[in-house]
Amino acid sequence: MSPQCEGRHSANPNGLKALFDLHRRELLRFLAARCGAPDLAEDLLHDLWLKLDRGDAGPVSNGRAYLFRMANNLVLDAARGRSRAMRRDKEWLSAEGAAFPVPEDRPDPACSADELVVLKQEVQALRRAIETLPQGARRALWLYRMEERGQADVARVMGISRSGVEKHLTVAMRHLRKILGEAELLPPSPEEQDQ
Amino acid sequence: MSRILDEAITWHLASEHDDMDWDAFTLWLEASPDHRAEYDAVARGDAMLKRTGERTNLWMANPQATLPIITSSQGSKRWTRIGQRFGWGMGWAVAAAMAVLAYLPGHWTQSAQTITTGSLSREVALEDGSTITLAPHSSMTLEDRVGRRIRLDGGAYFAIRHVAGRQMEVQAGALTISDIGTRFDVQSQGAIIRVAVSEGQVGLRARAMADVTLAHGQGALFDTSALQLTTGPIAADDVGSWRQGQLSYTDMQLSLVAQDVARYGGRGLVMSDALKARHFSGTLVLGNGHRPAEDLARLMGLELVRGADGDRLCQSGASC
Repeated sequence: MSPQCEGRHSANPNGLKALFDLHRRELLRFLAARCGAPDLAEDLLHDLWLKLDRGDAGPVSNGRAYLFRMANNLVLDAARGRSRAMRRDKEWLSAEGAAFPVPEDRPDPACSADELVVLKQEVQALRRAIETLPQGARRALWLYRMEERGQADVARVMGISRSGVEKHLTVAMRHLRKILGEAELLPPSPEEQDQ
Repeated sequence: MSRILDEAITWHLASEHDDMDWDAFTLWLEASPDHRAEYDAVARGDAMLKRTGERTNLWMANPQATLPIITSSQGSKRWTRIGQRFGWGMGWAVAAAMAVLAYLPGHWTQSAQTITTGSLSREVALEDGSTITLAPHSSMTLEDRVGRRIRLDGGAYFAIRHVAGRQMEVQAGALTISDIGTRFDVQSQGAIIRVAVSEGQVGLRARAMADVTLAHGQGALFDTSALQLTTGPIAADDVGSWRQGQLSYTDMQLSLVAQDVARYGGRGLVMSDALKARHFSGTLVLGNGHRPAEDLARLMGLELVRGADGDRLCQSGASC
């Protein structure tokens, strides 16, 4: 986790690294709030800087928002790595189990039997969630998540208002979260805790 | 607690936009560990959906146990008047006794996916709300992930939702059917391909043939061996009626009727060449395996000779 080569800054047409310096404190505060652990927040902030140094960013319209999104995604990747390592009854400490963060775009590795079991659980739970969604929420979720359309575009395709899309997506996310909680792939949902 | 969940979802959905207020979000997260925990669960669940959805087939179809089952309407209709319709009709009768939903392997590792039916029809739900009912003894290959290019061998009824900018193509033998949101039926077996439109319109395309638009209430019969396309009026209400357990025809070649009876009734039906050239009008109801063939024989004044593997239509009194 040590800096690679502080002096080797690639040209960054978006000025993201300058923005990083400008908003460093807010980013750190956000990361600490988001992951609840100051040490981890420092590590993730460093990971963010490394990513910027590698010039991973594409064209960016709002640099500050982009940095926060990157930071947010790093927390997610880290959480995924942790949950993999710590998952209950997960004797599988696969080759990538300790990797941190887990690259999202790597090709499927040869899965261990335990990983396949988890993947199968995920597939079953997600299918159940998708199949039991109301039609509108299901379609909105598909357009938004799988066709990667923005909410305004989903609204246009479905012929409904933007707030209608938000309602559909909220229904979909709430449902997804509930089913994944029931399947113990996420902590129990608050709706279950309420009962 | 569910208030926190809704707030977490609102933040999560907003986070993908440039106008997200990240400072306010930070304050919200700092306000309670429950906020952080719930936001994290929402974001992780969504990431799981995206990641798994890209690698596997989550959206197209469906372990049958969790999906609605199309129930049979066997015997719900009796004979209807013969010759009541004009033109040459196509409503391919026969009961999809109990259609079950298509099962697709869980791991979508290739871009193409083939669904094959046995004696039962199957309904395949596409991600956009469209549905395809695949007839018995038929096969359908979805050549892309969202079902925009489909290859069909056998019968299927398509109820395709209109999606702006999208065109769907069904390849049936040498005929390409293009659609932007409509309902139609396709029967493709051997050299003859039949298309019937109950709503909207479809485009038909084949090599060495001018493109043809087929509107609702129209049917087409394409003879691949002769490269000949014939169109005519049909009863739109009867299109795809095999899903309700009946086949309706107006002036249809007996060979094609027999083909349908075999597909939907599950028993082979053969006849002499002389009989194949005759035409049939009427409605056949799917009951047990013999019933549509028996009814067809009775209506045509023919004799049905039962065999171990299938039935044979014969001229009454003649040896065959």
